[in-house]
Amino acid sequence: MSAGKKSLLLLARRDHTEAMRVAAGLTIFGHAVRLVFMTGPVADTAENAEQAEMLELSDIAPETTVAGQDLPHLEPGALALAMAEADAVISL
Amino acid sequence: MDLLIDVSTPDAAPVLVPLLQALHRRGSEWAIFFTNDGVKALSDPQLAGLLHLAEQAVACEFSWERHMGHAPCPVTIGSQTNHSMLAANAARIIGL
Repeated sequence: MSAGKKSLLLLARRDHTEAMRVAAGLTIFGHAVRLVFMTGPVADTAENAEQAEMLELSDIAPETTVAGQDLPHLEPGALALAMAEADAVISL
Repeated sequence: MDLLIDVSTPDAAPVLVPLLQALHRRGSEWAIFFTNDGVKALSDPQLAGLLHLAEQAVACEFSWERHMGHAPCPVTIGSQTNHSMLAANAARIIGL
């Protein structure tokens, strides 16, 4: 990994809302950001809806490891590949 | 800059203190960014006392106000924009 624009993978584990906020913010300096929700479904809250709009504005299409969600689903193999391909993996 | 450390958990101080001491001993250049309830780690005086060694130490203003209210912050108050810039300047990134 070198300095400059990076390919970043954010794993949304402890706090989905915060992960969305951080992911959108990271795009400001041109990083390519991939966001993966984990551990459970994203709560249907006004704050999450607001952050989801920020993701759209930031051209981030979130994915999930949780089955049965209305988002692209990442199987363990695909998640492993995403981790291997990223310049850095940030777990939030 | 060699390393950006993202702190997003409140109990990070016991790991951070020896890590930052080791980074200083080896002459590494590092920055640190506190976000979410990770800002609570700044309450640890031993950790706060090491942050002058950082190239930059920044706490997310939104997170600080949410979790620490009007308490004085021992590092620079910034935003996710600072985080994105620090990520661009760092050779490596780790999260705690």
